[in-house]
Amino acid sequence: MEHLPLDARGVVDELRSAPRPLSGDGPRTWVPSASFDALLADAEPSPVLLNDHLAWLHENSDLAQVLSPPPGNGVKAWAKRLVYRAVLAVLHPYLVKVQDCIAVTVRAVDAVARRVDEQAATQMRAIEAMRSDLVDFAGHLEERLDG
Amino acid sequence: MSRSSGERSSGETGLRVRRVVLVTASWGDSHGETGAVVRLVAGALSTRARVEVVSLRSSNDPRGSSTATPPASTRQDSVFSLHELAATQPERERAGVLRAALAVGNPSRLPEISGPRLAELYGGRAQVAGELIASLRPDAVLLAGPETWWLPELVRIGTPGARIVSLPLFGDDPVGDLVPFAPLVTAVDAVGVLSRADGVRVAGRIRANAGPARSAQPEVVELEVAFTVNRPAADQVMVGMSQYGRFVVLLTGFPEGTPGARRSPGHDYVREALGPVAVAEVAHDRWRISDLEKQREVPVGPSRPNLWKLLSHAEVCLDLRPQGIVGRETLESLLLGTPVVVPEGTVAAEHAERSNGGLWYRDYRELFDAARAVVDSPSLRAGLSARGREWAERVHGDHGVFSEQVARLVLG
Repeated sequence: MEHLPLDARGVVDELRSAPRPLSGDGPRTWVPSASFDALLADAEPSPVLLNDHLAWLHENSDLAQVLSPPPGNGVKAWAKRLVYRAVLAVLHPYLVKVQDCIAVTVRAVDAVARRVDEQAATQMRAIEAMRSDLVDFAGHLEERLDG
Repeated sequence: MSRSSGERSSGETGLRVRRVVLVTASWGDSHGETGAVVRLVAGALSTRARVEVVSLRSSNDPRGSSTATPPASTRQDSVFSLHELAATQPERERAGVLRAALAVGNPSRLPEISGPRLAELYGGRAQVAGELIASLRPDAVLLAGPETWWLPELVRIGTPGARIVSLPLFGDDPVGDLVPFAPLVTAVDAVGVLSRADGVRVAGRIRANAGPARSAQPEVVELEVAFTVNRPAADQVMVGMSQYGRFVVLLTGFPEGTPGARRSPGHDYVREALGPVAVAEVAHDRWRISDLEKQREVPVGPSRPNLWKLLSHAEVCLDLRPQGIVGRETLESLLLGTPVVVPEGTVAAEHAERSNGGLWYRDYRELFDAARAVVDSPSLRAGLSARGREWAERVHGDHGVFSEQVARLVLG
């Protein structure tokens, strides 16, 4: 269309007589915004529940081993156990409380991580469904345009 | 025609200033095109005659009774004497329902009573309107709009000797084919039309309704309404628009209060279809612009000067709206040198074809094809722009010519 139009009707007739591609330019190439693909591609794949720090916390949250009496024989071990009994006689209620707090904290972090993973999965499914709906909608529009 | 009172003479020439009564239900309407066209016609007449406006306004009484008729109130509106007559009570709501039914139905299969009934609902038959017009002792009566369809015979009886002119203002509305034409043929001296297609349609219906009793049929006069655009103001770039580069204007609703698009393909869809060009959408009071990377609301009021600024810098104006009676925004776009793409079969499409300043479409596929052709081809765009602007300035830019046409229609 690089000529000066002599009359608008001629241009309209020329456009109408041009063969229409079954697919190709224009609305037929329309797909939902590329931001959907970016959202899906950039999404964090691994669940929070499998996070390394959370795994370490699970492995080291039990203080029972640390709080057991010092092993061994001899005067040095006997002295250690004496100090252990003396310290534990004062600090035992506090250490039990700390152990309980650590256990509850780990369970709470677990619950939050599980909820975050569920939400992320739901969001991804929703985005994929929305994208699929928009593709269907675009196809429907093009059918109507053809009709 | 002798007149003992109510006459005025221009002091120096001794010529009597003629008095024209303009009857309309659209006086002061700021939405749609009818109010603007009626005021332009009145303004054109005011240079040659004294114009008295009888405004038929709807009241809150849905029954349309004329028994409790309040008197007309009279005041000055600019150079016009305005008589507001609230008693006429056109039943707009019920008329709207019947009108919609007629528009979607097959006119050839509808009962003949439909058209007269519609005219009655539009107008309401209030004797007081005819009495008021007669009391003004006009030399000519201009009945503008479908609400006045029932008046010609009444005015003919009340003001013998006056020239009676009708300006139906139906545009491309299919309902124009349904209203009864017999009153026009028998009681009206001339009919004004705003487009060639409307002129052909009106002339055909007049011929079809002309009986043997009346040999002289009313004359059909085409009016080429003149519009003005403020080019210095339009040349200014709207705030924030420069960052978008090339853009097209998408008209889906303007001015505020007019119906929106029949089936809008959506802002995003148009933008995706047109490729690397931004889309500035005018949708009533929400104007927004977007390209492939960003989108924002245009922070301006939905005013006509702001529309001119948009149109003036656009590649093309895509009009998705139901068209009005005169295609005002199409003419303004052509006056500003911006090609248009408008719906086929409308007054706007007639402007595009006559001017060679725009293209037209039957469906949205053709809309996209036409829009892409204009956007992608600088030479086509330049050709349409030059031809459209030249035609619009010549035909619709001269208020003197328009005034002559109105005078010929109304004063004979």
